[in-house]
This record gives sequence, C-alpha cells and structure tokens, in this order.
Amino acid sequence: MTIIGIAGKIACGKGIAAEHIVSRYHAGFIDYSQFLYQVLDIFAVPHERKHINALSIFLRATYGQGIFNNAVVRALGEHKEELVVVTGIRREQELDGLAAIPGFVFLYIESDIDTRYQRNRTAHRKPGDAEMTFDQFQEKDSDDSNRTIEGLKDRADYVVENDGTRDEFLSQVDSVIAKIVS
Amino acid sequence: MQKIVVGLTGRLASGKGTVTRHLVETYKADKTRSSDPLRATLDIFSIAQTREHLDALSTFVREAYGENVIAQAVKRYLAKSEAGVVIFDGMRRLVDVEMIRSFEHSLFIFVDTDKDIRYTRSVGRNENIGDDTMTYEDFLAKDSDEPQQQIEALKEYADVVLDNNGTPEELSKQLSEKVDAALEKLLAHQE
Repeated sequence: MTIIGIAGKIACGKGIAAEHIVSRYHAGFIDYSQFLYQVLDIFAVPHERKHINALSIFLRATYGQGIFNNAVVRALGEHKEELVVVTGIRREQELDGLAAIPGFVFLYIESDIDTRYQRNRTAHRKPGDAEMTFDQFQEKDSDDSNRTIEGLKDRADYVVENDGTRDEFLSQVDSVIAKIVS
Repeated sequence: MQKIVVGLTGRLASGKGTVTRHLVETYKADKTRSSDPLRATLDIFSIAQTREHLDALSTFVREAYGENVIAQAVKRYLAKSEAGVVIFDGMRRLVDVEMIRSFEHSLFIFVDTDKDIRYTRSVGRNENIGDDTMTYEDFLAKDSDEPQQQIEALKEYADVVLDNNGTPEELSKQLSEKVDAALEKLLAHQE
C-alpha cells in the first residue's frame, strides 16, 4: 500500500488534490479531522469549531499526542486500496508517526496567502468564510491549530504549487502520482 | 411491532448479566450500556478501555457537551435498534429512568442483592482486571462511591425488583414469574 500524506495551509487546495487522487486513481481517503467528527457524531454534537477544538485538546492532553496516529493506523487497516490519501496533517508528531509506516510519501501543497484568502472567501466551506477580512484570515492562518503546518514543508518528498489554474495544479499532482506509483 | 425498552440496574455484581442473558436468549434482545458510546470513542483511537480512561472521557463529554449527552446517545441507540426488546444495562440516574419512560413501552428491572453475596461473586468472576484480588474493604469502598449510591435510590421506581440472594434456580423462577410475565403482558397489549 502506498500512503500519500498531504499537508498545506488553509485553502491551499488539499481537498481538491485529495478528491482528484481519490476519483482518478481509486484511492482510499483518510482525513485527520474525520476522527473528531466521528466522536461528535456519536454524541450528536454539531460540527462547530469550538466543539472540535475542545475535543482535540482533551484527547491529546488525556491520552497522549500519538492517539491520532493510532486512529490513522487503525483506519488504514480497514482500507483495501493500493493507494490511500491521508490529509489534514498539521503537526511534526503526526508526520513522524506516518513517516514510520512503510510506503508513506509526503506531499506539501504551497499557495500564497492572497490566493488562499480569495479562495477561502469564495469556497464557502464554513459559515462566515465569505465575510472574513484579510486580517481575520491571517489570524486564523497562524492560530494554534494552523501555525505548525508550514514547518512540515521541509520534510516533503514533493512540493506542489497551487497559485495558478486548477488544471495546472492537478496536472502537477498527476506528475507526482506518476513518480510515486512508477 | 413497537419495541419494549428494558431498563436494568443493580449494584456491583448484583447479577445484571444473568438477567441480560435471559432476555437475549428468550427474546433475542439487543442491549446497550451507557459506557458503549464512550467505548466506541476510545476504540477510534485504539485507547485501552480502562475504568480510568472511560471516567475521564465521561467527565469531559458531560462538561463540554451537556450533562445529558451520554443518556441521549443511549436513547438514540435504543430508538434505532430493530430488536423487539432492547436493554439499557446499567442505569444510574433518575434521568435514565425518565429517558426509558419516554418510550411507549418500558420495563424497569432492579436487581437487589446483599453486599456480602455480591462481594463473593465479584471475586469469583473477575469481570474487571483486579476484581479477583479485591479485599472486602476495597469492595465496600468501590460499592459506596457516588454512582453506586445513586443506583440504590432508583429502586423505588422499578417495575420489577428481583431478589438475587438465593440460588440460580430461585432467580430463574423470578425471571419467569416476574420479568417474562411483565413482558408477555406488554407484548399482548401491543397486539
């Protein structure tokens, strides 16, 4: 099994890349945040940022920083695909855990903040995104859950830029996949 | 057919498992415990299901998402279950009683057993790691913590109180005379 880890800052295009790899290469898909959503669903708690953050902090503090890696390893065991995309990696520790798994390749997506800001405003993924000012975006981009992402870039096997068109971006992703699976 | 929700409680090692087995064998009952949503959460992260881990999670979810959040998760399970008889094992609070009463057909069973007998059974069965080496004093301490005290207060709300101080045959007789009779009545009422 080849595992493609994807990281990048808010609205860099992680979701589009992951979706593309899943549909074009019939890859499996795991998102670090899916485990938090699963827990919230067990208790029928709405997927609001404050609930997600409180849960994440509690789980890490109580059961150890490594538990999300345990969850990924467990989820990987349930996938039968040759290729599995793991997205939403934010911390060194998460990357350490994944890097220890045979077949792991790490892809970092880079995109400048102005492009990401515009993209975030128009993507309407979360309530309030469309009204967010540049300052608010910048603040969110460097909060506790996001500021550690950039440091992961140095450890990437591949870096793909996403400041042009969607097609340009996805064709770079395809070239990376071609190298990985060859 | 409408389902019958059976609430079951009793103190440590009172014999709830025997009652559950009877209902599963006789009525193909489905079952859930209030710890099930907590156990499912720990499973996602491969966290060991120790009493300590479950308690920490229980405290967190109730503080962060509301005191009733676990009872509500159990309620959704009970509502969704397709079995004709579904058991909520380990009711602890009055809100749990209110919750099962919110279903159209419910039966609340309290298993009543003296503490000396419960201690002997607890040591013998070793359900949780360490139970077999527990002293009588340890058992009494565990048996008198707050959740266990709350259980006792639920007895007056029970439809059926089973006295489990005798032989297995005596319990079996009560299961048939009290529990089966009550369930048959509820089932007949539905037809």
